[in-house]
Amino acid sequence: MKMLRRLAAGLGAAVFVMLTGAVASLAGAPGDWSQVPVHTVKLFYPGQSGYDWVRSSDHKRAYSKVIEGDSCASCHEGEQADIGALIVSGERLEPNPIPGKNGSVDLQVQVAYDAENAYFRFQWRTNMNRAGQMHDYMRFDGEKWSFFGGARSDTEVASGEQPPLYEDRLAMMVDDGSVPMFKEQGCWLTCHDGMRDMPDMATKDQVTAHALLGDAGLKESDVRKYLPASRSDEAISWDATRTAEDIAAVKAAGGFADLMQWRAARSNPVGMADDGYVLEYRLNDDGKAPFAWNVDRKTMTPKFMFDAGKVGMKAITVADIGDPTKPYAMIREGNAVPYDPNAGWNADDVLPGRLLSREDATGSAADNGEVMGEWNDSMWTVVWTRKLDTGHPQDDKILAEGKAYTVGFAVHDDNVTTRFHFVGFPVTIGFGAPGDIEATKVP
Amino acid sequence: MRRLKWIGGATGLVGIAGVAAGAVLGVVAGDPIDRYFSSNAFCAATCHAMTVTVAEELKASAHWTTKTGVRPECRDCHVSEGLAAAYWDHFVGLRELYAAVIEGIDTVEEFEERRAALADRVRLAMVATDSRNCRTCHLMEAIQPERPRGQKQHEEAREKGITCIVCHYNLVHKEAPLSAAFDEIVSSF
Repeated sequence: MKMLRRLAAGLGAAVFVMLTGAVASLAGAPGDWSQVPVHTVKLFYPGQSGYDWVRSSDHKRAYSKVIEGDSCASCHEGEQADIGALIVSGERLEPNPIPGKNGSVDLQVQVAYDAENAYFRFQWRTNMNRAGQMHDYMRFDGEKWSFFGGARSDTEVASGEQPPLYEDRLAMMVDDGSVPMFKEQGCWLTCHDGMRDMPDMATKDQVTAHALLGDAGLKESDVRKYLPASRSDEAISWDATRTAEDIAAVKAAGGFADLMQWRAARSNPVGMADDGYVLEYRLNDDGKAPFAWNVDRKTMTPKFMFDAGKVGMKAITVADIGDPTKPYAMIREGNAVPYDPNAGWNADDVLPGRLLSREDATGSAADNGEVMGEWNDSMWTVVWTRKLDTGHPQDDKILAEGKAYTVGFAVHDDNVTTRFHFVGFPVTIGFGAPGDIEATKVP
Repeated sequence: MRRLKWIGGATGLVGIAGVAAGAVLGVVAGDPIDRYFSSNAFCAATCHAMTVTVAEELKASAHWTTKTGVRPECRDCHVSEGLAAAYWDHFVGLRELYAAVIEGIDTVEEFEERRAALADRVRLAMVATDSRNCRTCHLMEAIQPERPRGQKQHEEAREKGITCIVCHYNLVHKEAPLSAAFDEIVSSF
């Protein structure tokens, strides 16, 4: 029996999802992806080359062309790998280079569609020799729980004080032509000075005191992606937000970018990707996302622990991290029971600080309910199904046959967050329409 | 002395001698004088503020260490070709001497306060001469950029007559912000 429990634990959360039927609904996806053309989208390391930099005179002469709306690719197509290698080295636009980090990634993209859904299949190589599916972990030190590990850009991780533990991600930012210049400049419209890890990063006090972003508004404490249409000054400053009424009007007119992220730790274990959008901030769609906190961050008390009856242990240990036979994600309806502070905790016990739930995900935020990723031999393969019409036009881009959409792709690889990802110039995907990638229609 | 009347007497003789001596000096020593006052040895060594700023920046630039060993000096970028034009540049350059000696601009901080204005003056002068000094070494038709970006930009530059400095500012020396006037020129293409 003990062996069986260990085996069950070893199946992992992804298999749990398969067993519970989450993948069965992928039946509409192309049965044979080899019949769908593969497009390589070169993603590269952008450093701090955000909206402000590309419009500054440091972007030699090109700044005036950028301001006029020229596309990034009109000058830089074909040199993504060179740009990535230059920036990741720290020679330009990267004040804190990460040792050993690669400058670019080839993202293989396949797209198909039928009357109801769009189907995507992605593959890319990872820098790590294990799946990046550990995130916001907590470690018990014998007396109390505290967060354990982090992104490689974190000071404690760079110094070796903490281990690199951060999830891999694949992101799609989509527009239907409603966002000015998105087709030409894509994600670079959303990345600004003042944001996390960008120049002149806004302080927590500045953000919490801000009328629209802070305690009196969105209740945020940092600045994340936003679109120029949400700001009122010429510099598109983080703090120069337009009124809530103005922003709502832009949103109602579709002037936001749809942003969906497949997360190796926070969504993949329940067969999902998250669903959000970018306008005045990087926001979740209406409803409830598939992940939440598994810890009261004020008292640092976990909310759930593993169900030992199902996975053979109430927690993993520091030594278990990265062991593919051990559970790595806490799934409320799958392998979790309420946290028992008297369960006999030992130093180096580890629990995921995030709680996942497919059952609890609701509304527009739960639109990406058929997304599965598998990591094998340093390669992620992600198959993603999305309804052409999600029924949520208020925060989704509704796809339709006969039209093309602009998509910016990004990959977070090897324990990184924020600017330390790989990004690509925008590409167009046509569904029965011309595009850089023309989706294959399937029965 | 009667024989000297046609040239105005002794005074005239002295004047002619002076002009002749000046001419001889100009022919014999004009070029060396220009070369000295245009050299790195003069520009980068006699003015403290320049020694520790722009001279060091040149040494750190791609113009100092080149594949072919071609190494421009201060004059190649900042002094016009031809003696008359060069002397005019030196004459105009006396204001730097005035700034250093009379106004006492001798520290890095004082130099940095003026960097943007100085850079702007050079940029606008280069625009006015169609980057003449760049072109004494670089032939537009002979430039073969390796990257597609450079190929495209140079093709556009030839078509529109975009002069070198419009793209290649902040190339050798420490970056200095663009003035509104120069920005207008850059944005006009």
